[in-house]
Amino acid sequence: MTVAFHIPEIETDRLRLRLPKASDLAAHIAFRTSERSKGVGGPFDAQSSFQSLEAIIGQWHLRGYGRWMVANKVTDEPYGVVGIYHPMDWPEAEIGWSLYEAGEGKGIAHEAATATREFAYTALGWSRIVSLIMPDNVRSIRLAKRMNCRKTEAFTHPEFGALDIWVHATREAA
Amino acid sequence: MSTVAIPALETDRLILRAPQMSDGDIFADVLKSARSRRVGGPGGAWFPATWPKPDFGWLLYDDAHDGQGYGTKVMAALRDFTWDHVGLSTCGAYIANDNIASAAVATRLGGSIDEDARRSEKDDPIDAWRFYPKGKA
Repeated sequence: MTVAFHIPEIETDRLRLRLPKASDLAAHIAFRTSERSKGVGGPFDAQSSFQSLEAIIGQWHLRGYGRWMVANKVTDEPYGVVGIYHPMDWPEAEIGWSLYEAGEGKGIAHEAATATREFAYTALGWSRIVSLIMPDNVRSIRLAKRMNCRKTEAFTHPEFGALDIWVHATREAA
Repeated sequence: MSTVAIPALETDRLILRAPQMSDGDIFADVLKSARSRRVGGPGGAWFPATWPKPDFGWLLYDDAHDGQGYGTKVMAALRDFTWDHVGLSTCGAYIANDNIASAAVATRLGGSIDEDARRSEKDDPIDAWRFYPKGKA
């Protein structure tokens, strides 16, 4: 008895959202050990990056949805991790985005998060999706506003502290 | 679309299968408990990128499961799978030198302490065990 689970691939204009692979590890370590990961609770030690990639793959099996490695559609260069994040201690499923330095300033998070939202509404048939954002994460707040998210109540995580819950625009309004 | 396949192994009394959502609560409890003080995760062949070589790992959840030979049974199935299906020619295990129960399992699996293994510190209290397929040690 083998358990098999499937991770869909999504293509956008410039990007491929795909299963993480071993060759993504160096870029993932560089992100997690740098100040760039501050908005998601970092920086972290390098050791934990392997488990982080394992967890991205594993949540697809545990939840039936998850996050992708966002890569350049042509060169396959990894740009970051975007998709639906839903650990055990989260109030609900959220669209999360973490951009590596190589993915900076090109609208890549917006392109991948928009594709993720579309996936949640169409493939999963959801009517609500949120993003949890630290109150001082200016760049993520900017992206949330650009995606027509609306800030609602705050959620206090035992480790990460206060996180604002931004509700995404409905499918009709998106 | 990518497909990830995780094989299951069966022994007389047990099945080794992919973790599932309903395992979450008990796993979280075990990680918070003193039982997890020596380990990083449940049973399997684990090979984080930062580790020198692939490693066998095992963690039983409950005192009630101790002493029934589960650890040895499971790891014997996993060891054979590792040689026959994964195709590894050796595997290790890192065991604290006061962890008598795990050292006993490692001995029953045919392992031995590798005195030449790389250690993070000179007086590292962790023993590096090494396993080989029968006849290849």
